[in-house]
Amino acid sequence: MEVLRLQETPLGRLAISSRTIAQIAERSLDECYGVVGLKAGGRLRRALALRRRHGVEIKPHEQGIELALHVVIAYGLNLAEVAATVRSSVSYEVKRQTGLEVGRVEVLIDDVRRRD
Amino acid sequence: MSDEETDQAATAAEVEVLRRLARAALEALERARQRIDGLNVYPVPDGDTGANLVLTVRALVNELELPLPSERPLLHRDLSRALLMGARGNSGVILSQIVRGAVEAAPAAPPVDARALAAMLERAREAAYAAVQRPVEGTMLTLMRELSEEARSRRREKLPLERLLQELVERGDEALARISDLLPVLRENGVVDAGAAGLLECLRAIALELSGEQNEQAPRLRLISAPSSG
Repeated sequence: MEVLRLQETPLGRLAISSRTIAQIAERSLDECYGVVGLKAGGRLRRALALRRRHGVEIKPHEQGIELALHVVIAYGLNLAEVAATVRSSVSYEVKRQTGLEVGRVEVLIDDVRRRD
Repeated sequence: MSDEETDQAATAAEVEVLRRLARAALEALERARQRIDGLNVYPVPDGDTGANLVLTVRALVNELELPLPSERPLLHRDLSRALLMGARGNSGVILSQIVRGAVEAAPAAPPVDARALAAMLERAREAAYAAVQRPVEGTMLTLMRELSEEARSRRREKLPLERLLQELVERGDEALARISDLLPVLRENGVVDAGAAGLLECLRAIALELSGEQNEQAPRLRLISAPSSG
């Protein structure tokens, strides 16, 4: 289990796995308006990016973490606005649930898709 | 040839109605902006839903001030595009989808009657729900579904359009508090969804404008100064 340490306490260490963080981010992405899919990227990239689970990459960043989110957006939406909402929603949820500082959040729109 | 002329004349009158309705919605959102900002706890409690909806609808109002194509499909395309480009924030993006759906289902020739409105709202609901993987209930989406259900269930009553719109506003008022119970973060904060509240204000303004009932407290002059007020 890959662990991103959160804090040392007198009673012991509190640790949160990157898998947990990825799940929180994914769940938040599922509910983001405009996001209709997550993209795992090419096979090579997937093999190289160990911390990556589905559409979420996580890297340690100073006191917290950095995220890269690979998303598919519904065709015909304002991509910049959807990306801004994705960034703020995911960063807010991860911080709210883990207490980790979320530094950079990269939103990578891998594709647009018509769903209707 | 005469068909084409009728078509164009209808479009000119139509644009004037659209202009009035869009301005009325903008004015209502400007009045409700602070209240809506204060309701904003989801998805991120950043208190900007009212401001975002104002900016989004203002983009539509501004587009309607420009010379527009008279051919209806081109007009619809331009208005949808203006809203797409002007959409701000989560609520603005959802509103742009709702309007795009409604416009797609707009009848090829006026008038828009109760049956046509029901079809437009149905398409608006589909478009709104189509752009998200896991729709979050208790929000603008749920209100949109409530409104389209109401219009659908009453489409055979042959209500005049203004009357149906009034009924929709009543259903929206009734639904708003009820649906907000579906989303824990709203329930915990004792608020209704900000975006849904904004959508309802737009609908209320449109219903009022169409029924010709002018809200006496609302100075009409504010319309004219609206684009420069921030």
